[in-house]
Amino acid sequence: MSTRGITAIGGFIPQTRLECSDIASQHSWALPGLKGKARGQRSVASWDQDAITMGVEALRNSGADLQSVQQVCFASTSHPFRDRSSAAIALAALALPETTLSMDSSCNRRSGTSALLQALINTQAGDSAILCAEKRLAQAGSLAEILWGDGGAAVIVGDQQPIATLLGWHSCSADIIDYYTADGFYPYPGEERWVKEQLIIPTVSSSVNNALQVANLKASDIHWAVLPAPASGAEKALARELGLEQAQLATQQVLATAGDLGSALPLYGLAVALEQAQHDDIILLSSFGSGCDSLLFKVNKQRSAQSPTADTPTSASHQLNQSLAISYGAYASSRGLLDIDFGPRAERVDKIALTVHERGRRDISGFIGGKVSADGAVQFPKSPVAMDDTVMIESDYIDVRLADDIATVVSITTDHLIYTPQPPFRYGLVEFENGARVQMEFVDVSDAGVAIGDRVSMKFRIKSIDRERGYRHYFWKAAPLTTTEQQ
Amino acid sequence: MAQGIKDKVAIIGMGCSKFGERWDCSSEDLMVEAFSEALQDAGIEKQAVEAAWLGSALDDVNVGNSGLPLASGLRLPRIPVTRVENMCATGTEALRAATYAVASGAVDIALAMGVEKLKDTGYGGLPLRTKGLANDLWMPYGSAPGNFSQLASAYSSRYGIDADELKRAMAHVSWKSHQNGAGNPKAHLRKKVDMETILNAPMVADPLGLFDCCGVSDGAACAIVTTPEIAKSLGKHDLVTVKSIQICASNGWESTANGWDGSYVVNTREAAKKAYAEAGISNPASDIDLAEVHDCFSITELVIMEDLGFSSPGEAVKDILDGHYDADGRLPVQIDGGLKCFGHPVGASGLRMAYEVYTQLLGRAGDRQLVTPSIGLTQNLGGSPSNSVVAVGLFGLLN
Repeated sequence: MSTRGITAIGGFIPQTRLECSDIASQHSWALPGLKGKARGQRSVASWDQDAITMGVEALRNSGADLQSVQQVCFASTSHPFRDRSSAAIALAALALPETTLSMDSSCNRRSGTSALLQALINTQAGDSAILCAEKRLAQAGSLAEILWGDGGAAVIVGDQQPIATLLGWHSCSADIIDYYTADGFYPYPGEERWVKEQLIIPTVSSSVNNALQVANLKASDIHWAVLPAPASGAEKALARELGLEQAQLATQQVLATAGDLGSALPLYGLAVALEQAQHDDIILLSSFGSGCDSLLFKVNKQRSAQSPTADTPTSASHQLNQSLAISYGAYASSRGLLDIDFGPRAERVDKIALTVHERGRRDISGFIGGKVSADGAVQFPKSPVAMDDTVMIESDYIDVRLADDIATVVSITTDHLIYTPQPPFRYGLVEFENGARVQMEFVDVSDAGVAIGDRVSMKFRIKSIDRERGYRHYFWKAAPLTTTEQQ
Repeated sequence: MAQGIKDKVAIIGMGCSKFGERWDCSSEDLMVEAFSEALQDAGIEKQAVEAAWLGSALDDVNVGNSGLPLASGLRLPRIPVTRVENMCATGTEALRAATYAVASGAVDIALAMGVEKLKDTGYGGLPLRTKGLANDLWMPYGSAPGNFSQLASAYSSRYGIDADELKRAMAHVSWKSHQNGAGNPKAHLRKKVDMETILNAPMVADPLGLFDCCGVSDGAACAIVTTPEIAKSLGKHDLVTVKSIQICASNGWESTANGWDGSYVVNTREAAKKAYAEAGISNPASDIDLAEVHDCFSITELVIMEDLGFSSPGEAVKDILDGHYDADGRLPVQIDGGLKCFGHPVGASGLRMAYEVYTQLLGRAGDRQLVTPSIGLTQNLGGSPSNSVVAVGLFGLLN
């Protein structure tokens, strides 16, 4: 019997939250009906977060040792580029070998679960990482603007002591259209009640029952359920249809405090469920989009040290309780729904020379500095002549990755003059515990601000967006450790 | 050991345009304005100039590359003209080149011109860079006030100085310069500003408010230099000579290694040490009669007071609030109004500072004339505190 299963899982939700009632209030002059549908909060990725950065952070949050990963799949319906691989960017950010087999999965909200299923049933695949994240653009005033949120999740599938094993599955593909998003257009939905009653409930319940039959289980055997929620109330209606209790729904809090994460919702819900579940619990994972995937897992929590728990700062459950407020205007401007006049300073050219990028690609993406001897000074970026080199020869560096290290703030300012899509621009000098110093931008700063001596961790983010050419460049930024993380 | 250039080169003529929003002027107009004054001051014909250096820092903003803008702008007689650029130290760099050329004996008379035409960008502050560099891949793109404001938090942290007290000292720096600049006809900003207005101004880059920042303006300044012997042969009596001009550029230590706490500018200290040694200054706080320093931001001037040895470490706040650097203080700093009131046409600023020292040494400063100064200092700080180019110049009367 194969021991293949999920060996690690992590989630990432941006800290920033927008009250759905604020969205409704903004549009109430034209769309008073939105108010009745505006409950809870939605998560908001900032201008410098996209599917790739959130997928990377989700995998980092899993705490998994990535050295054994042989395959990577990046799944999303909101890949930033059509022909620049999200998986390749993630590989570089995570400093995985370039020989790692990778692929991108897209065009379907089931892309995350389908990739997971493929990894589980492909017993030759070795350790496989599935990264899945969404930053979907909804039209101002649309229901999707209220219901959707941004976030990601990541899973490692392997053969070594899995925390959950697959008991059975069912998948169907059909051109069932609850909504669609054509190139260059906003999402266009079908009537909500029709979607829920005529598309989701029959499709999903049929798929779940098929999976239960394959696994030789009954609905009453399910302890935790992750159900799709592309329309208001769909999750609860499905639960009723399947005879499940609301308390068993792992995505309730996700939907209430972050929103529908698209293709990442099922995997994020699975992360929450695995954190909450007991040993031997049964988890149902179901996703909807041009068909349906249903997977049934059995939880193995006997390896308690490796099992996900809800009480770590990076746990999926913990992240749902974070909340940095943002105004509707800042949210709308940051994703191009509102065209603010930032003045001539915003006419700055942020073009990245591809030749320059190619020269620095590996060290920039992976935040890799170097030292010229075992006890030499670590520096970033590497320079032809090292800082502590006493002879004038081109230096040969030992790589030192800084992305996973903690640093301390040496200097800081809040710049109100320079253009940034979400002012103000906070930056300063940080010093890593290995002595390396780097000028860095600070992100995820609470009202308490940042002070000299504060400790910061590194986050993979968008460094700049070339608005004239649509290019985006990624690098790392420093985020203050939260109170929980400091402990 | 090198002999140095002390007293080997005399300044025989200087000129400085009116600084400000010179909407009606081109960079050539500004250079002609400064050069005409310098020529008249020197009492020579322009054909006597044998070599020239043009300092212009921002090549895309209405001056242009190479030495040609100066050569053709002044219709110089087919002499070697070279453009130099060293960030905010550019003007002093041009003067250093002209001075070294004379000191070496290569030419008898040389011209140093600094000019910048910044007000055609359409906004305040320095022009934005438009070129893709490797640094763009990782380095935060902050503003100049953002870069320099970080001195304040580091300084507070190092000396345990309350942020409000530091802010008051910073405000005094700006208040003092506005007091001085109000009477200077060549200054851009000629309005006295009270402390409350300075303290309550809108924030630009925490903790720098609007009045903690110098303006950006158009301007040109120049110097004609020769040997003291030739100067005397031209009938000059009170000679202002160059005692030293030193430049120090970062090697990357501040922002790469872990020895710098961010509260000072190491290159100012290094350039000053070398300049004092060359000029024979043993006690800068008492030997120097006036200083024109790089007050791009109030916190910069505050830190410079310590880096130049005018204040003891951690004492600049007290010294500033005690008025030591006011017009009637023990060492007047920015008696002309400084960058604060002149604005900062980058390539011109170093020569504008030298112009004020020269004017004061010759007793020509009118209402702001100090009592018998004999030696003055200029200092420029280009880049940012963590990655800087610093120039320190010392000029004095020839004994």
